[in-house]
Amino acid sequence: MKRTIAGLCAALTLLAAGQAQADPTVTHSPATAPTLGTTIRGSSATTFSISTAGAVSRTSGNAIRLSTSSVTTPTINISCGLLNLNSLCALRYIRVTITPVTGSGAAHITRLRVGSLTGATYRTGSAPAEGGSVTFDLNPLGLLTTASFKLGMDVQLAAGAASGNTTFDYIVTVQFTT
Amino acid sequence: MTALRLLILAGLIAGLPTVAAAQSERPTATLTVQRGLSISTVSPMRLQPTTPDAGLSVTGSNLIDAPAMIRISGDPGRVYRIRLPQADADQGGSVIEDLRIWSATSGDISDTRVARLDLQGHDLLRVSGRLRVRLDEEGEPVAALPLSIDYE
Repeated sequence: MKRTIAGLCAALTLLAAGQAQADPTVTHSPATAPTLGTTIRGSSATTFSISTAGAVSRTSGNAIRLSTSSVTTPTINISCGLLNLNSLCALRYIRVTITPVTGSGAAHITRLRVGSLTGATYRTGSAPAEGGSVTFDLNPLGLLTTASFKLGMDVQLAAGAASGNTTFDYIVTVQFTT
Repeated sequence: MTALRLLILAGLIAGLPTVAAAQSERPTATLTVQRGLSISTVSPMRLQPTTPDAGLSVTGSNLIDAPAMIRISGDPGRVYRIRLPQADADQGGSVIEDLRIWSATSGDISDTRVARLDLQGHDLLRVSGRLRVRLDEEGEPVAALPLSIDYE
């Protein structure tokens, strides 16, 4: 019996050591989202607002999105591996920061909004306000859960944008906080 | 009891705070930008009802038997297609038959009705045909020719 327990200890120790640099982790799905589809460029900068449920509406400008269908918004997942034990992840607060990537592309994100949270609760008790970037803390995940939420955003397409596919990125960062 | 202690110890070892580097993910979103097709009629089609087939050349503006001149602008190099409504043999009034369409970039596209915008994103269409007039029609014969033009 002692040998079995000792083996379990060793296995857990190795597991912890192997994932020492990987806590907590953040993933997203689907790979590319949202995908707005074909848009006729406008003569003025145009902002499309995407709700966390995926509904798209034009809030300014004169570009035209050909489709009126909803889009799939990205789902962000946060976890800490097996049983959330790494670095005492199950017991620690997690800070989530989401920021748009500003580049030279024709489109960029101007506003972010976080949808309903599952698998965790907000440390402040309420969802963060939408904004140019969003930062919020999660209460400890516990042993068995993965925190997930949908992400909505406002996207601005430049006036007279060049034809072709254009991408707009954002960065989600997670880290422990006290 | 010893086993329980070992298990607790293992849990603590596994849960020791290590170097907790922030983890980042960079998701991507996309959209496809396209220049809208701009279509404007430079001059209307004017056909002589008695003439069996109007010519495609233009010698002046709005002359009798002049083809319609349609200017198209859009994404450079893009292919576009012209669509016409199905002819209705039973419809009253005048109709245009034997439609001829000539594209400045692609030549005669009367059959294919597909052409390509030039490298500046422009094309000029000349559209003509034969005006069939009902014998019992009074006044000046007028026929509508609704064209639908969109990217292929």
